[in-house]
Amino acid sequence: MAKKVKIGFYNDEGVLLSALKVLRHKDIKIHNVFTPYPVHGLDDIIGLKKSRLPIVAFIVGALGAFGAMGFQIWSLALDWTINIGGKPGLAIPSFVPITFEIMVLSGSLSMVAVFFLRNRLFPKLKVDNIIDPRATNDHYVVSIDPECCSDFNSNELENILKETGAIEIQDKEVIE
Amino acid sequence: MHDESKREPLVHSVSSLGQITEEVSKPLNERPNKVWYIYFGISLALLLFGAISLYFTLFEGIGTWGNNKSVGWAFAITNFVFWVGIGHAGTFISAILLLFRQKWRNSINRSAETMTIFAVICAAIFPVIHLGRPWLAAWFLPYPNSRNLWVNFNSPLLWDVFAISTYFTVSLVFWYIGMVPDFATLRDQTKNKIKKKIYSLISINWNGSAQSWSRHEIVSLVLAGLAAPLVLSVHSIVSTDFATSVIPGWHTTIFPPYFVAGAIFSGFAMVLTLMIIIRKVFNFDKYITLYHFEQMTKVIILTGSLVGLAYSTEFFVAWYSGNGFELFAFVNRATGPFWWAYWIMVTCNVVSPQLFWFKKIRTSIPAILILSILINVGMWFERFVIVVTSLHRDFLPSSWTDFSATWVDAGLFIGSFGLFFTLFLLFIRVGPYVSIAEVKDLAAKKLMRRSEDHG
Amino acid sequence: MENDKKLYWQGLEELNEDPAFLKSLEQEFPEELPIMDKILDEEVINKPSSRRSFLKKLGFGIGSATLLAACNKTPIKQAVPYLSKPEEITPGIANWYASTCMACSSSCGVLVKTREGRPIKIEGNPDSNSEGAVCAIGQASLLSLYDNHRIKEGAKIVSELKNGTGKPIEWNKVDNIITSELQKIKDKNGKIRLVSTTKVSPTTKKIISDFCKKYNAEHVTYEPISHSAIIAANKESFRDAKNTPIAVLPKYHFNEANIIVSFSADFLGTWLSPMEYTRQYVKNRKLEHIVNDKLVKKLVMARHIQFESTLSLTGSNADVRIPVKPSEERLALLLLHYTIAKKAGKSVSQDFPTTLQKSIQLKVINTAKDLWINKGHTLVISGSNDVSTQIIINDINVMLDNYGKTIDLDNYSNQMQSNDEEMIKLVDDIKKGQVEGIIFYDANPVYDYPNFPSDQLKKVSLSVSFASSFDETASIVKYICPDHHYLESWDLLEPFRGYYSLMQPTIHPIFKTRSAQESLLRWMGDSKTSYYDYIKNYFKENLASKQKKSWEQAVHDGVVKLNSLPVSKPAFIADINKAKTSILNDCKNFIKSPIEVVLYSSIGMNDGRHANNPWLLELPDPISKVTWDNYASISPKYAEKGNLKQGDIIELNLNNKIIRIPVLVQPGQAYETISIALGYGRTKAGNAGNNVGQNLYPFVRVSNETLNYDISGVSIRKVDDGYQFAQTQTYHSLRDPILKRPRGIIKETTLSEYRTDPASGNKDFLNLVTLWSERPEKNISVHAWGMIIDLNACTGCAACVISCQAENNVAVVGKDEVRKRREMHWIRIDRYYSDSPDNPEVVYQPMTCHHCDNAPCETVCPVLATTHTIDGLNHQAYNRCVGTRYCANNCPYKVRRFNWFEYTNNPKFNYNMNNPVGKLVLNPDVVVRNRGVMEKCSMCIQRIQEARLKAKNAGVKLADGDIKMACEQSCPGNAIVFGDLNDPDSRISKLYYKKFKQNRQPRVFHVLEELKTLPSLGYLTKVRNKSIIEKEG
Repeated sequence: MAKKVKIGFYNDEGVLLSALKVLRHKDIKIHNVFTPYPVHGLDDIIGLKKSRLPIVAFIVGALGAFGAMGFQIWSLALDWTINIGGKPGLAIPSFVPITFEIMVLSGSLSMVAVFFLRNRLFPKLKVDNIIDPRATNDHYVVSIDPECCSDFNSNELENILKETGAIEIQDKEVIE
Repeated sequence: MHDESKREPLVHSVSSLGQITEEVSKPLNERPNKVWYIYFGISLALLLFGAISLYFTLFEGIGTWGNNKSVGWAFAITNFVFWVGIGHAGTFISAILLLFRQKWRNSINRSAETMTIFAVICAAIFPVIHLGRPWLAAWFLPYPNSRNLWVNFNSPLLWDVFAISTYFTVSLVFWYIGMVPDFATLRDQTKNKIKKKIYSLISINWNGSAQSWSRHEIVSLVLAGLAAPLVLSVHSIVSTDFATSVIPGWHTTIFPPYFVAGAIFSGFAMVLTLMIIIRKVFNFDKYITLYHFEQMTKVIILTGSLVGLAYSTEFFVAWYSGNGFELFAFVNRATGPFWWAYWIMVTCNVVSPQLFWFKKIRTSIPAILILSILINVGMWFERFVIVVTSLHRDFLPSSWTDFSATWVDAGLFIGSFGLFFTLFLLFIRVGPYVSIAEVKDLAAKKLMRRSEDHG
Repeated sequence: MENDKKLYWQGLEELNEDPAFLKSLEQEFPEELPIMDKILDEEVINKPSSRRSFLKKLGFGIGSATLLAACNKTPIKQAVPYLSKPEEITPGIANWYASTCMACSSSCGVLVKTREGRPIKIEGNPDSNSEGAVCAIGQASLLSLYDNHRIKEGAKIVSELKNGTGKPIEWNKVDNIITSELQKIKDKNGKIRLVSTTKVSPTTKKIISDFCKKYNAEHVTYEPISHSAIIAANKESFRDAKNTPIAVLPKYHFNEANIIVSFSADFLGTWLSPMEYTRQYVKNRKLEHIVNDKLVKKLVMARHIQFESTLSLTGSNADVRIPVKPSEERLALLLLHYTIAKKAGKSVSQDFPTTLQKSIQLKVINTAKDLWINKGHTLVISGSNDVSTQIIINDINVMLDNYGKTIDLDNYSNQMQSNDEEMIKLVDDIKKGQVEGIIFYDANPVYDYPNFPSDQLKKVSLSVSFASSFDETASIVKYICPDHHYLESWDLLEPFRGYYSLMQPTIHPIFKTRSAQESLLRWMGDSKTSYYDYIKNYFKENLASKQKKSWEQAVHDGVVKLNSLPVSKPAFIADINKAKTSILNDCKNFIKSPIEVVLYSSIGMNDGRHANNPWLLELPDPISKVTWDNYASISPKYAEKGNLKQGDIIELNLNNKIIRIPVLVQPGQAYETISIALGYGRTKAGNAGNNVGQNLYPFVRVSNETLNYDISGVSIRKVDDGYQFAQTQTYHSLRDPILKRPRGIIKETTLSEYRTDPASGNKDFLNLVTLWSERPEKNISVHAWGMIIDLNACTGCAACVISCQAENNVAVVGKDEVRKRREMHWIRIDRYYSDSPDNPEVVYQPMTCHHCDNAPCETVCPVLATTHTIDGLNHQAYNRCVGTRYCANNCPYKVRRFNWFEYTNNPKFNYNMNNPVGKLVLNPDVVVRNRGVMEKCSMCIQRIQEARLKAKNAGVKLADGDIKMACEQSCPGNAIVFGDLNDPDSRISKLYYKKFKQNRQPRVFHVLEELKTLPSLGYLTKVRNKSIIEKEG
C-alpha cells in the first residue's frame, strides 16, 4: 500500500545527525532515513533494534557442521566401511576440515539469504522503493510520516525540517 | 580506535560525496583509454595461448606435459597453489582488516576482493585439468550413485574441493553484498536505459534505508568473522595435500602456518602489483595512496619473515630429525639439479621483503612494484620447489627422474595470467572497483569536519 | 549340427584322430568357401532373421572373432558358431597346449595358453629340459606370431617387387617353378646350398638331408652368434672308444658344480641354453629350498667366478668378477691352465708373457686353488668362439676331472649347431659366383653375416627364402615361401640326445603360410605328405618302440625322454702347445691395439631375429636399463681418459668400416675396452624394429675359420654428443649422490657372515619401534596374499617383465616416452651398483606393487579408486580412477604407472595395440586401460580369481601353489614365491615366518620398513659367496 510521507534532504552527515536529534526531541516520529553510506550512530537516534541475523548464521552453521560430520561418519564408518590404507573407518580427525568448511558455507549463505528476504532485496527490472536518486549519491533523506505526529500540521513540519538544516522538502508516496 | 587526524589523509581533495560517485563511475560511462586497450590486448593474447595449450591437454592427454612416472605433479599443482595463495589477500584485507577496524582498507578492499575472486577462479581450473580424465571431475562430489560408492573423506584432495569451493562462494557473496549499494548508486546516476535496467537487476532493490544499512553492516561483520578463519583454513588444507603424504620434503608438520603466511605474503604482493597498475591506468592517487602501499609492505615484511623462518625451520628439522631421506630431500633442493629454483625462491622470498624495512624503498612506487613482482616470482618457485624437487628424488634411487616442462605446461601457466588480467580489466570497465559507499564514509568525516569549522 | 568340423583346434583334432580333419590336412588348403555361407545362407538372406539364426550369427561372431579380426584371406572352410561349440572349448576358459619354443635353438618346452583360439601366453613346461623356465625372448616370441609385418598373402615372387611387397603367387605355381629350377641346376651339376640356422629337429634334418641328396645340394648350418668353436674343439680333443672324433656340443650340469669359472660366457643370459643353465645354477645358489613342504636351509652355495670385459648378466651375478680385456682374458686363461697343470703334476713351462696385472694374477691363482680343491665338482667354460681357446678349456676340465660329472659328451646337445667353416666357404663360393641355387631357412646372412656379398646373391639364378617377412635377405631373393610361426606348426625336436620335445599348432595359420618342411617335401616331388604325417611316422618308427608314451600322450605331454646313455670319459688328444701358440699369436694383435672391442648379444635382442618385437625393444637391458638402443659401453676410467661422457657419439673405424654409435659409461666394463651389442640396426625388420640402434655384424672378425666377436685394431673418435638414451633407471647407487649416505633398501651379506649369523646384514629393523599401538592380527580365516623374492635366486634376467607384460596387457610406449620416463611395466628390476665403479658389485631387486596393508596410495585417492581387499590386496579400479596421480606421488616404491596417452588405436603409438592383428595377443581377462587412468601390479588378480573359482567348482580348499603369479611362474631362478601368509603350511609362510605369526626368518626384509607401510611383498637378503682371500685381496 502506498503511504504519504514528508521527506527532507540534508547534505552533511553532521547536520543530519543533529537534525535527527532535534526531531526526536520534538518527538516527531521519523519514518525512515536514507543515506548513501552507513552513517554510524543513526540506529540509536532513530531507535533501530539490533539485527538478529547472526543468530541465523549460528544455528544453520551448527546444523551444517553436524550434518557434514554426520554424513562423513555415516558414509565411511556405517554405510559401507572400506579398508582405506589400513585406517579405521571412523577417522574423526580427517573429517574435521570438511565439517568446518560446510559449517562456514551453510552459516554464511543462510544468513545472507535471510538478509535479502528481510530487506526485500530481490532482482527487479524496475525498482519501486527508491525515495530519491540522490539518496544513494550525496544526500541524506529523512522521511516523516505526518499521520503519526498529529500535533504538527504539514507546514509546521516543513518549518521544523528547514530549521534543522534540510536543504529541500518534498511530499512523497512510498510503498510500505 | 586510531586518531585519523594523526594520519596522512586517506582520501585527498574530495570536495563532495557526489564527486566520488562521479569519479568512480566516470570510467564506466566513457570509452576506455589507450592504456587499457594495450593491457587488455596483451591479456587476451596470453589467454589465447592458454586456450591452445588447454586444447592439447584435453584432446591429447596429460602426456603433453612434462610430468613422468615419479613426478606426477608439477606445473598444474604449482599453479594451483600459487593462485590460491594470491587469492588470500583479498579476503584477508576485506575480512580480517575489517574486524580490526582498519579504515584505510576501505578504498582498496574492493579491488583486493575482486582479485581474490578471479585468482580463485584461475586456481580452480588447474585441479580439474590436471586430472587424467577431467570429464569425470564430478566424481569428487559425494552424490548418491548406482555404485553406492561415496568419496574418500580421508583424502586431502577432497578437503581441497570443499575448502576451495567454500572459500570461493563465501568470498563471492561477501564481494557482492559489498557491491549492492554501489550498484544502487550507479543505478540512480546512470542516464543510459539499458545500464539502468542491468544495474536495477543486480542492485536488487537497494534503497539505502537506515534499516537495511544496519543489517548490511551486521552481515558484513559476521561474514568477515566467518571468512577470517576460512582464509586461514583454506591454505592450511591445501598444505595438507603435501603434509599428510609420506614423501620426504612433503611430510612436514609446519606446512599449514607456513603456507598461510606464504599465501598472505604472495597475495599482498599481487595486490600491490595490481594497485600500482590501476593507479597508473585511471590515475587514482586520490583513493589509492602511498599510505596504503606502506601499510601493505609492512604486512609483507611480517609474512615474508615468517616464510623465511619456515624455510630455516624445515632445514633444521630435516637435520635434527636424523631422518636420512628427509635430510637428503632438503639438501637436494639446495644443491641438487633444481638448486637454481631453490635459490630464486630464497632470494625473492626471504631477502627482497626485508628491503621494505627502509622507508625510502617502502615509499617508492617503482621499488614496491619491482619487489612485489619479485615476491610473486619467488612464491611461484616456492611451490615448484616443494612439488617437484620433493618428487623427483624420493626414496628409491632407481625411480629418480628429472623434470623438464613442455610448452603446454608453460602455456597453461601463462594462460592463467591471461585469464586473470582479462577478467580484472573487464571488471574495472563495468563494476565499481572502488567501494563507493565505504569511501564516502571516509570522505564524509573530512567534509563534516570542514563544515563544522565553517559554522 | 551338420558342420562340426573344428578347424582352429588342429592340435586337438589330432588327438581325437578326427578323420575329417586328417582328410583336410591332406590337401594343404582345401577348396575355399566364402566364410558366411553355411551358417547364414537361406535363413538369413531369404527369411527374416529368426532368433535361432540371430544366435548363430552371434555365436559365429564370437567364434571366429579371432580370424575376422586378423582380417586376412585365410580360407576358412567352415566358421563354426560356438553355439555348436567344440567340446574342449568353453568361451572364457583357457586351453593349454604343450609345445616347444623356437625363439632360439635351446628349444625350451612350453605350455601355450589359448583363449577362443588365440595363443595369449607362453609359459614353461615343467617336464621340459628347462624345467618350466622360458626366457624373455621366448615369451615375447608370442607377439611375433601377431606381427602385422608378416607376409599375409602366401608365396611371393620378390624379384617382381611391386611397392616392395612382391607379387603374390599360388603355392602350386611357385612349387612348379622352383622344382624345375632346382632340377635344371642339378642337371648341370650346379651348386645348390641350403642355409639354415640350427635345426634341432631330427625330422627337419632328415627332410633337409633327403632334399640335399635329391639335388646333391649341401646343407650349411649357420648361427650369426656362433659357438661352433666348442664343437670344433671337441672334435680335435676327444676320441670315443671307436676312435671317432666326438664333434658335439656337450650337455653341461651347472648344478653339479661347486665352483663355476666362466671366461666371458654369459650362460645365464645368452650362452647356448641360458634358461636351462639358470635353473641348474640357482639350485646350487639358493640357501632356502622347500623340499616336500619342508623348509631346508643350506649353508653352502656354489662359487661363481667370471672373467669378462663386458659386464654381462652372468658376470653381474658372479661372486668374484674380474674385468679383463680380451687380451688379458687369454693370458688369464693360459695362466689358469698353467697353474692347474702344475697342480696336476704335469711338466709345464710358463711359456707366455706375464704382463698380466698382479691383482688379476692373484685372482687367477686363487681361482685355481678353489678349482683344485673342488676337483671333479667344478666347471670351466668360455664364451669365446676361438677353437684353440676352447681346447685349453677342455684340457682344464679334463685335468679337473669334470667330464662325466659336470660335462656330458655322451648325451650331447643339439642346440647351437653352427659350422662356421662351411659358412665361410659358402660365402666364398657366392663371392666367386659359383652358387646357382640357394635356399635360406631362418637365416638372414645379408643382415647378420660380416660383409655378406649381397650383390652376388642377387645374381644367383635361384634364390629362395622361407622367411615370414621381408627381412634383409628375403627382400633380395627371387622367391619367398613364408614359413609358419612356430606356434602354428608341428614339429619334433631333439635338443639333447634322447630327449625329444614336441611342437604342436596352437592356432590355425593366421596367414597363407606353409611350413618350410612341407615346402621342401613339395620340391622333392612329394605332393601330399603333410609334415604332420611325416613326424608322426618318424615317431612311430624311431621312438614308439624305445619308450612307453603313445603319440597322443607324447603330444599331450610335449616331452619324450629316452633313458640317457651312461657317461664315459673320452680320451683327450688335442695338441695343447699348438693351441697355446695360436692363442698367443692372436693375443699379439690385441696387445698392439689401443682399444679392444667386444661384440656381445643382449638379453632382449640376442642375435636380432626378433628385432620387430615391441615388447623386446622396450625391455630394459638388465644391466644398463637402456631400451630401444644398443650403445658402446666404456668403463668410467676410460671415459675419463678419453674425456668421453654418456651420450657422446663416437665413430668406430675398423679398416674403413665405419659405425657411429652413442657412448654409455658402464661401471664394470674392462678398462680400454668397448662392448657393443649385436642384433640391432635392422633395416627391414618392420615398423618397430627398423633402424633401432646400429648393426655391428660387419665388425665380426672372421679368423681361424670361425666368427670371432672380439676385435682389435679399431680406432675411435668423438663426432658428436648429447644423445639421450631411453633408460628406465638413471641413478645406479644405493648411496645418494650428495650426502653419500647409504639407503638400506637392499640387505646384503656374505656367505661366511651368514654362516655365523643368519640375520647378518638384516639387523636394522629387527626391533623396530612404533608410535602406534599394534592393530590386532588380521582375520586369519581369510587369505593374506603375499610374495617373497629371494635376491640370491634372482639373476635379473627380466623374464618376469615380459611375462607380466603379456599377462596384463601392459602397453608399449616407445622410445620417446621411455626417455620421458613413462614406461608402463608393472614389474621392474631395480639394479644397483656398489663398491668401485671399475668393478662394482651388482644387485637386482624386482620391484612391483607391494600391496601394503597401510597403503599410502589408498588414503590419498579422493574417489576411492584404490582400496584394500580383505585378503590383503591393494586394488585399483580403473573405471573409477579419475587420474589425480596423487597415489603415484605418495607411493614410496614408485610402482604405479599412469596412462599419459591413449596407447591403443593411436597412430602415435604404432605398436601391436594399433593394428587388428597385434591386438589378438591381448589377454581377455585383463582390462586394456585407457587414457588418464592409473594402473599397477594387481597381483594377477585374474589368476587368483580363476584358481578360486576352480577350487570352488571342485568343492575343494584352495591349495598352496594353485595360484601362480605371471612373474613367479616365469622366473627361471624360482626366486619369487607367492602364497597365503595366513596359511601356516604355505611355502611363503615357511619362508617368511620362523614361528608362524610370531617372528620371521632371519633373511626376510621389507623395503622402507621404517615407513610402516606393512608391505605384502618381502625379500630375502642377498648372500655373496666371497672367499676369505677375496676380502683381503
